[in-house]
Amino acid sequence: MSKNKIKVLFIDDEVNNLHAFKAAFRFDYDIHTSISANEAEEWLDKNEVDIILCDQRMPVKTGVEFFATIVKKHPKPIRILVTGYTDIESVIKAINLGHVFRYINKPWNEAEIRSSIEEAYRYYTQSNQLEDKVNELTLAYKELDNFAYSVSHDLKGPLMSIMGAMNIVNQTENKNEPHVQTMLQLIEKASEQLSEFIENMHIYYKNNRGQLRIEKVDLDEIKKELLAIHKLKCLQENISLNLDITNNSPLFSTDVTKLKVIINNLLSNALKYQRQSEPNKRVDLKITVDGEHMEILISDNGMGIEEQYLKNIFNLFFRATTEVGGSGFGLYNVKEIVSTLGGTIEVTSQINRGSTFIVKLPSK
Amino acid sequence: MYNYIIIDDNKIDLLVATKAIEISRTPVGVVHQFLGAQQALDFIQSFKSDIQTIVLIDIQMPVMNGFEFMEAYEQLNDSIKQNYICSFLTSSSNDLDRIRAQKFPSIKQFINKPFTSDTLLNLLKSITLK
Repeated sequence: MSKNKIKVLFIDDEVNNLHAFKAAFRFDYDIHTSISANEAEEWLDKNEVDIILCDQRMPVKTGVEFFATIVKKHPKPIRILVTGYTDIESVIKAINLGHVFRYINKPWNEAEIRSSIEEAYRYYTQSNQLEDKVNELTLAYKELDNFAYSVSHDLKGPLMSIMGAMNIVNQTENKNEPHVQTMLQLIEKASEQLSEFIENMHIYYKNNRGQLRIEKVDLDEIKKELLAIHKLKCLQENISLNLDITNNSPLFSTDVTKLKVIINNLLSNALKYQRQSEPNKRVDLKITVDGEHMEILISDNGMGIEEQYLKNIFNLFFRATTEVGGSGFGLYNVKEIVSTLGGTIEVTSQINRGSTFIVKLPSK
Repeated sequence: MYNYIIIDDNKIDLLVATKAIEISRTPVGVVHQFLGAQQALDFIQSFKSDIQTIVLIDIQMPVMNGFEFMEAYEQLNDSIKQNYICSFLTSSSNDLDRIRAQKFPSIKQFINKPFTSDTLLNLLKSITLK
């Protein structure tokens, strides 16, 4: 049994029975007693209970009547009827109106009460677990619906671009016309978009399912990789990329593949969301490792993010601008991965001034 | 002859649709391209033209999506709206989108991408029939 005691409510109009019940079971269960149905109803409105045992023969309201009144408002607790009269009529009523789980004869003995409570509790947890699972699954289905809608749109989008461009190429008799070349370039771009989207979807899936692979972090290697990936874009678009990477703690460990996804995503965003009018385009990446903590700071002097969108940028499929294309996957993936690694991410941004992302990760 | 306004957050699709219009061998005035729906809305409100303008609107767009654009468009004066013929142009095959599109009186057609010269000819045919 769990540390938490089973919560039991016992109702009987004879105060001696209440005392006897409490004396017998108070060490094993968390017991509350009530002298009348009305008192019990009031108590139930403010308190939660797993199992209710109620005497049948009480003035004002019988046990069956009591169960019948509370069953709608408090459907979860398991109901057990205790009675000295074994007339079949009240048993039938108890089952049909009060939905009782068990029927215990008076005078009761400890062993029977105990086994009834244990059994009722097993039933209680099972049916509650089932309900939780159903709720969980309903939510998951809904999410899946949204996901499927967005994904099918984002997968179909580039394909439709390709088909549209192909159609124009096919309709042009003279394939040497300059726009044929343009269309082919568009097809290439759309294919790249598609491929990038699929890659991001893969990361999304892997982060949700996969297990962590913790290794020591080699920042020199990461630096080399980053330069290899992003150098060309920096040269082409005249962006100065400043890397400041210091590692004072060679034992710092985390999932290196996931760490790279974080840095690469933030870095490509910083490089992507630049302002063409800015003569000194700049992206700074600073990684410091100090003991058990790593801080990654990426800042740029690019487009920035409008304040009203800041709270949404980590949402799946959210995009804050039409200026530059994106899938709406990147920052969502980053945030999910950061939290998988037990870290935090913060952003500050000013429109037309630039953005700064700070990721803090603990050593694993 | 028609002018055109194409609204799509994807540059590739803007170029493809523009080219499809160009090679359709139909009389074409000016083709205006917009990456954002808000800019297109501002343009429609400030630009005066006597030439009928066909507006092609993507649905899924950041900042202002196609539905939001149409909600704002429907509020405009009839004197403005009479110069425009609006259609959605989308890669969505979602029935809910299609149903939602029917709620806008100004939407003439719900066109699925890819946009080709044939799609355009069909659209023009349906416009002249009405």
